[in-house]
Amino acid sequence: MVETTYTEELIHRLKTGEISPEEHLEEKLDTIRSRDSELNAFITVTEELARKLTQKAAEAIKEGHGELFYGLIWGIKDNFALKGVRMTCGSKMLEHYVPPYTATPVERILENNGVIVGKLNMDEFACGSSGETSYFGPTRNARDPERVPGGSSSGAGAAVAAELVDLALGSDTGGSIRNPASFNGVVGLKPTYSLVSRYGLADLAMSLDVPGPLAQDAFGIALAMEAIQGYDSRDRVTAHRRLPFLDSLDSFDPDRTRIGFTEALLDGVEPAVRKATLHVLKFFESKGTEIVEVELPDIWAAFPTYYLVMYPEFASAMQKFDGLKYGHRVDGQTLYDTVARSRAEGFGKEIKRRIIMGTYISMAEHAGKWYTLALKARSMIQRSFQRALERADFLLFPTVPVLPFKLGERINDPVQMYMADALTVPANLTGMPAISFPGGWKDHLPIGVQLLGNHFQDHFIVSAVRFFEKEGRPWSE
Amino acid sequence: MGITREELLHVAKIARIELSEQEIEELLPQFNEILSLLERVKSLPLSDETTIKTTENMDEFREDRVAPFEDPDAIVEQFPRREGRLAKVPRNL
Amino acid sequence: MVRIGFEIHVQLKTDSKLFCSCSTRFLDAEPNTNVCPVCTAQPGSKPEGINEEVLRKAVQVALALNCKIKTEPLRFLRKHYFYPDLPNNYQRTSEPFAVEGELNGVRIREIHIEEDPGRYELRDGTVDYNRAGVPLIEIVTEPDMHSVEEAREFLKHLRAVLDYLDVILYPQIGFRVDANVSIEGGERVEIKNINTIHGVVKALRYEISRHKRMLQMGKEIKRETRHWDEVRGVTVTLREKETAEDYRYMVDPDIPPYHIDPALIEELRAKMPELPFQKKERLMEQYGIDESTAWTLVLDKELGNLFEALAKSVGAKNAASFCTNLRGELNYRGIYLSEVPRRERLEKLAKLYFSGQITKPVYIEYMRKILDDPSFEPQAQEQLSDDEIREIARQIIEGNAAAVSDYKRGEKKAINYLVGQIVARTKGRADPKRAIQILREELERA
Repeated sequence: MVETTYTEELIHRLKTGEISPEEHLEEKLDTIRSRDSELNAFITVTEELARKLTQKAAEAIKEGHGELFYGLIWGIKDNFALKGVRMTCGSKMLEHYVPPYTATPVERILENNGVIVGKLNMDEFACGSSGETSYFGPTRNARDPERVPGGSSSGAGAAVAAELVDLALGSDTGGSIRNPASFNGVVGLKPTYSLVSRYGLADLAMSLDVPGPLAQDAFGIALAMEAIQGYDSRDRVTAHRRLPFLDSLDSFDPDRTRIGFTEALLDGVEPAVRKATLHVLKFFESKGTEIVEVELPDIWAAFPTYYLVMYPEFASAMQKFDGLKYGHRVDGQTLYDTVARSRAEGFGKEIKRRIIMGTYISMAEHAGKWYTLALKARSMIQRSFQRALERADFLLFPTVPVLPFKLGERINDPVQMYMADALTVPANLTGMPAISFPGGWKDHLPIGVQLLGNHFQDHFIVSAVRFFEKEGRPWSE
Repeated sequence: MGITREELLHVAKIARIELSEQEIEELLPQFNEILSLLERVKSLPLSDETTIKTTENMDEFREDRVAPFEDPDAIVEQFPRREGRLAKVPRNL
Repeated sequence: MVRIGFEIHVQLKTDSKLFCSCSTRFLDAEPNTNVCPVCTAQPGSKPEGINEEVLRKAVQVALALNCKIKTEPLRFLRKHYFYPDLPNNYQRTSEPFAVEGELNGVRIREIHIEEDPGRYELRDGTVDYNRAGVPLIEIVTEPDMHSVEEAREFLKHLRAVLDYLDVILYPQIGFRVDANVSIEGGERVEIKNINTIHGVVKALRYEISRHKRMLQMGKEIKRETRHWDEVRGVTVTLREKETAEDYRYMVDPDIPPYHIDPALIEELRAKMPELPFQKKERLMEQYGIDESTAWTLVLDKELGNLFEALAKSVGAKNAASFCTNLRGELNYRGIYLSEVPRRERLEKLAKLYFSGQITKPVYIEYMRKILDDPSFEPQAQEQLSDDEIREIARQIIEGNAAAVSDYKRGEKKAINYLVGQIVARTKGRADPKRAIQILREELERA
């Protein structure tokens, strides 16, 4: 049994003055200097800003109100706006873009004495599951630099795992928090859609995007969520709710919990991933949790449905990049040429692919066929998950069907690459919360296991992970 | 099923993305492969329901109150080409 | 048969924009000062909630146009097209919230809410986003008008309704009109973005005669969109239907749908101000004026107000005559009374005239000056001194021997004729009482 976990321990030391925020920052800056040339987790390091914020946090601690973060070091995925610090979204299009405002979740981190040390690398405009599509070069896996870190919050996953930062803010549209959490062996929560404000998060697909944290442990996730959750008048879809993440962190009761499981969710999954998943399932069972067989007959449809929903929303969101107001500009003879060339030069392959797919699907002659189909399929998947969660408190299944693969292995095969999202997209399509945590290791490679709960049960699945951290042990071969 | 070269160019035009010859060659087969993958959704026993509840906030308004943005200059500074405070853009459509 | 229909865009009078808290006052602001991350589509920004006042004003208009208000949740759509004045390269536009209305015998098909784009000066190649996000309603009519005159009447009535509701952001801008017109045997042609009622009338006249000419020459009238060139007074092809944009409409996932609360509808119905039709009825009854005069007065809101103010001071009959003259002068200038600065000068003018302090030719001259010169101030005419009147009286007596001898023979009425001569000669600058007295004195002497 584990007494205390990484983030919990660190907060304790900062709070009691055993270590000062200044010392802590310097330690992190040293680690960044020594490791990031290899990992490429950062696009921009904000050393000066971090020192200022650290001073502020130190003063707050002295005055007895250093909560919630007491100077913990944060990295922010580079698709969140922080006023005055460039936001690239991993794209040439925004290589020199400096946002005039700050995203709500970032503002809330600052208000709670978080120290932002930089902006993290990511797949271009969050389009990717391998961390390889960034204009600023691929990020590398913190556990094995030959392998991909997962994506799109690639820098976030690697930076937390390599201890370059204590906490990271990521965004999840089809698995972009959970996938790199899984590949780097850390914890990542995709919150219920609408629990965290998207104001200042560059759009990928508006009905799916949600900001969320990555951390070493469930405690870090709970702490981060306490700060960033809740209603924001600048993002009108946010719910008027706050969930008791810290208060319920240690209240998981295995005897009064039912876990939903189905073999359908292990279909086509690599053997090691399967073993790790079943290992975690057995752990909970051994603690008295009831395992309930659920049915998800149409689970295979989640992945094509996701793409049908995402493409048109993405194409719509990307219309704004025209080189006229901000971003990369190529001057042409006409307005048309200027816009078409700015976009051709500013966007990478995958972005162009998605915009063109999305434009095609949403064109008048196809919309009836494709977009309506997508909405119907999405409703259906939502209903089947709701039915499954009537019988269970959460579902347990792998985060990614495969282990971290080598850089360059899949980058030229978009369909193969898309397959990696098969098990993460259901949470986005249904709006439900899902958390990925290390459930096993094959040699040095981590295996993420995922818990998917009902809407606004985020704190509950976090407490289940906390329980596993304290009472269980990851599978290893 | 499938998309022709002409259709692809038409879509790219609507999407305002200039494609190189190489990109067209690469995109065509990928486009069709992805479309046939998405086609599979059609085999689902779908009902007509298309309502997806993504928010609890129906019927919420904003009060009509002016709160000027504190730094419009920071927006102007991002214009790639400028003429005074105006964004400079081409004159020919 | 001619068929004319309209799409009318009205900028609504609210303090803040449709989806953000920037000021709507784009006219006098420095370029790109009333802007924020939302209305300039900075990456990551999201629309704030729908401005409540926009909805209230929109519903007021719908009620005044006798529309049915929809009860199902209203959604905003994204209408995609690339244009430099459209920061997102899509325009947020609501589904119709009101349908099946009627005004002046013209059916209203639907009304919806949308955001105005910024201002792209094509000639300079510059963009100002101050206007981007200003709330608009678009009122769509059925093609129920069959002549240019009917079309003009409809627009005048609509403008009056909007003025009575006080919902227009800038009265000097008014509204923008897209007109569609077809004649028997031809396709429907749309003329985009006409800024004044006067412009609509000219554009329609031009377009209808163009259609007639085309048909006479055996040419086909194609379905197309045209642009009204105000300077040259012609319409020119903008685009043909084949190349029309594909707007790829999509529900905006960032704007939660909303139901228009029936309680709000009832509240607004109860608070509805007097509308032109009602005011016309009241003026006829209260002041005993005829229907055509009453319409003239009420179709310009400020003119109707001026009439009621003047009716108290100079009487209803005089007030009506004054306002009818004024309407003629305003029409000649193609403006509404609200566009005239320092309108209190007109009240002063009416009082001067109807108290006999100025003559009719002066009154008309002054009325024109008030409309054309904001600094002009109407004054009672300067009165001639007794000596000046005496000099003129002597000349009149000399020149009218017959009348003078009549007077001397005891025909006291002859003096009226002589006074009339003095008034005419002095153009009213002689006080009639003084003139009679001086005239008598001079007659005695003569």
